[in-house]
Amino acid sequence: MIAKVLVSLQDEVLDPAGRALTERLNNLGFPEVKSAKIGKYIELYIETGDREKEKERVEDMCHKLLANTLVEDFEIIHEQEDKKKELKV
Amino acid sequence: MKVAVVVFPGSGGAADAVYAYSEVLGQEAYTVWHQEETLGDPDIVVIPGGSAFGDYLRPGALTRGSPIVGAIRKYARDDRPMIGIGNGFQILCELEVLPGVLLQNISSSFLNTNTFVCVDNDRSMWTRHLDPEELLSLPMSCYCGRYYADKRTLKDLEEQGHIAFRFCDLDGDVDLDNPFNGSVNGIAGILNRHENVLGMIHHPERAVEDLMGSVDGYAILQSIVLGDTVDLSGRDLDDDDDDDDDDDDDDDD
Repeated sequence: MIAKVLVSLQDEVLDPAGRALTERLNNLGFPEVKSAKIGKYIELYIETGDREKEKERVEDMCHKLLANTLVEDFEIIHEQEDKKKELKV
Repeated sequence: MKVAVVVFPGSGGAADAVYAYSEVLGQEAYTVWHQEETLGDPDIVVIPGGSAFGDYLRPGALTRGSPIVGAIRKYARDDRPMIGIGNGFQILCELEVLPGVLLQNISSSFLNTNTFVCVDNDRSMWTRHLDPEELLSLPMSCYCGRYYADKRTLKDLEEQGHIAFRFCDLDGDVDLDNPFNGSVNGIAGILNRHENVLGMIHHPERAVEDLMGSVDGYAILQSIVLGDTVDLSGRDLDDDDDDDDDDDDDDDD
């Protein structure tokens, strides 16, 4: 199974990178962009037969390491394994 | 005194910490690789600066999986002296030995410069030899040095006097509305609840000899060394305090 994890700063935490990106996009002719956030994308290839357990485990991983929940939110997207290949590392 | 300097892959500041404690302060400093499970009964533990695990994911985050972490947490819990410098501060926050987190500097830039800091807490084992009236000029070198904590944590830190250092200007004024790198309340260093663990953004070990441009870090590192031999109850420290830090060094590298 593949779990895709999106991590981003919480709205109330100032994000200088997102602010800089907003300004640059505005300068490039995209004034409609009012704000931006730059987050992280993590892809995990997981070998387990138990999909429900996998969801719990990935959530646990987010709390223990993948996100710092003091300042970050995370979102997990679980995908069925359609291709029998491990991620290249 | 025995000083253990914990080394993770990428802890580039370890050699500086060993040098400061062994060559300048005359103590027995040694490194401990992160794959070890014990610290070797030191009197002081240093979590040095650098970029542990390449700052992947978040600075300090990947240290959570290292075998030495259990010993670090226990040492802190046992109220023994520990200092986290730069990336070491980030690591101690990630390990929840210290509260809060360090985020990208508000300018989005890597800040490699000396700044002034003022001493907020002058009674902890790490800061009791510092003169609260004097400013320190210390080097910082980081991309993620903006301290952040939620309101409740911040209130606790302020009320219990656990802010060790704050960014300030040449006059010692702290700009709370627009702090140097965006650190909340201008915080540059904090202490844990029992005041035995100090985390600081600046590098005291890089300010211990005249040729480094400042010697203001000396008294911080020396504090624990002196602490064994000096009775601090009466705050009569001057006679025993043989450090020679100057108060107004240039603030340029």
